[in-house]
Amino acid sequence: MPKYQNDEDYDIHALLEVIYLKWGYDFRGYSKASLTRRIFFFLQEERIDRIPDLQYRIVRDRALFSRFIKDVTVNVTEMFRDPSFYASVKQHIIAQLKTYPHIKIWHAGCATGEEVYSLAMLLDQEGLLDRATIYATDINRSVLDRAKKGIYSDSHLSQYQQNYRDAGLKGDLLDYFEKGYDHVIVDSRLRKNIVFTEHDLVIDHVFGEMQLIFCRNVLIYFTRALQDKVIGLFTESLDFGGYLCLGIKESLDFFNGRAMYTAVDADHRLFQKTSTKG
Amino acid sequence: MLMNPDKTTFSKLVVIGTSWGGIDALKALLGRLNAPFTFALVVVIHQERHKKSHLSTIFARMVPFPVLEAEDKQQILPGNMYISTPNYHLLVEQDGTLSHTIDSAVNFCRPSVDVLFQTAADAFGDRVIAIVLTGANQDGAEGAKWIQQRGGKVYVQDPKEAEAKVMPLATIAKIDVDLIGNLDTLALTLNNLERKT
Repeated sequence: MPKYQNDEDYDIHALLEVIYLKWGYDFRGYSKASLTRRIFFFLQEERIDRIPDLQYRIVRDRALFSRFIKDVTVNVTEMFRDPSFYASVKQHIIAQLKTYPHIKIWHAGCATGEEVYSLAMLLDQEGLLDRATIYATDINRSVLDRAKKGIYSDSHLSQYQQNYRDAGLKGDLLDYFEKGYDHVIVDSRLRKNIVFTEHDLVIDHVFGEMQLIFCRNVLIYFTRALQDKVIGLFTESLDFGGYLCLGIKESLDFFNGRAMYTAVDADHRLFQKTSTKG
Repeated sequence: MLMNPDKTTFSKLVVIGTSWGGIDALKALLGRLNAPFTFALVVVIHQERHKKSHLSTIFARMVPFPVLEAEDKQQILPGNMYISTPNYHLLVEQDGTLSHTIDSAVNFCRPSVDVLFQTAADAFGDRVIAIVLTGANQDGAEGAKWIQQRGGKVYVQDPKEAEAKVMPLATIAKIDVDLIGNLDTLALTLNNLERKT
């Protein structure tokens, strides 16, 4: 079986190698089907005809590379995505968090921040916000800048309000926003304990002793091998008894240390680290 | 591409796209298939985005072959059917696994039939058969074109029979499809695949 199925496949692999050599960003463990789609969209956007042309230019043009990162890694997110997931966090995890004097939370792959603020609202209602520090990280600096600003278009507001209610939070989502002309701004009170910082799950290292790690709909973009590696990174960063929360389509099935975790709510992919031996 | 004639490799990859009216159409189509079969079925159906889907359980009770909600990085096995999850695109990888993304909606749809069809075509070329069933939007037409361009076949439910005609008609308008037929004919065509191999 040849390693590369066709010329186009070879071009993609070569591009990823070159990007790694030149810029240190490693996309070689990303799932190919979706990455290939996003690279072809990027070619169209940039009006570049062929991948080898992109490969030549991306080595020489930092601005082009920045746009590549921005477009190819961008994740779509929303406030309280999967409302029942947040209800489950409230039901299964909050009580234990209340036993800690200080709580460290890592939200990995936070994109434009909607879910970080969703979690902050939940913590606020449970009286935990003031003793929590949330480290919100992403590989993509431009989405982090937007997350930090906390300004969102009001076009999805009614959907978000519905999600908020379905997640079981009290009052109304708008209690946490200042309303602008066609946008909303997240209350600064929610933002003050959130630290936004760049972090690449593929090449960067362990991130302190966390009581809770959120990483939702990021692992689906990775191959099994890379999923195993990244969950290993989470496991090292997680306090004994801490919780790992994944997206609905993500699991620990491809993780070597699966036995270190107990499923708290398997349907909603909430796992607790209950052993230090894999 | 060489085919491994072992039990873990499907003979053909049958990808199905549907929307409005799709549940009834699938029930009728699947109920007529002779199991076990050597191809694999992967289905994208548009559903309400925030509800947990029970379709795989419902279909599994009706048919004599395994019906699974697609899991991420799951190997596609012959004789099985895999069904999409609301609010996630479903893609086919070159190594014969399924994957998911939350990338932007395509044709206002997530999952999108086009995304399934295009990635299936890229991964398995002339081993792909696409079936476009009833649906009230044009998702799938562009993907059907990719499938034909890469040597695969495209079958469409007869719009006269379809509960919603837009989806079948959009594909028929875009390309010269390989077959237009009612659900009986489509089922017979799939059953006949087994005889030829």
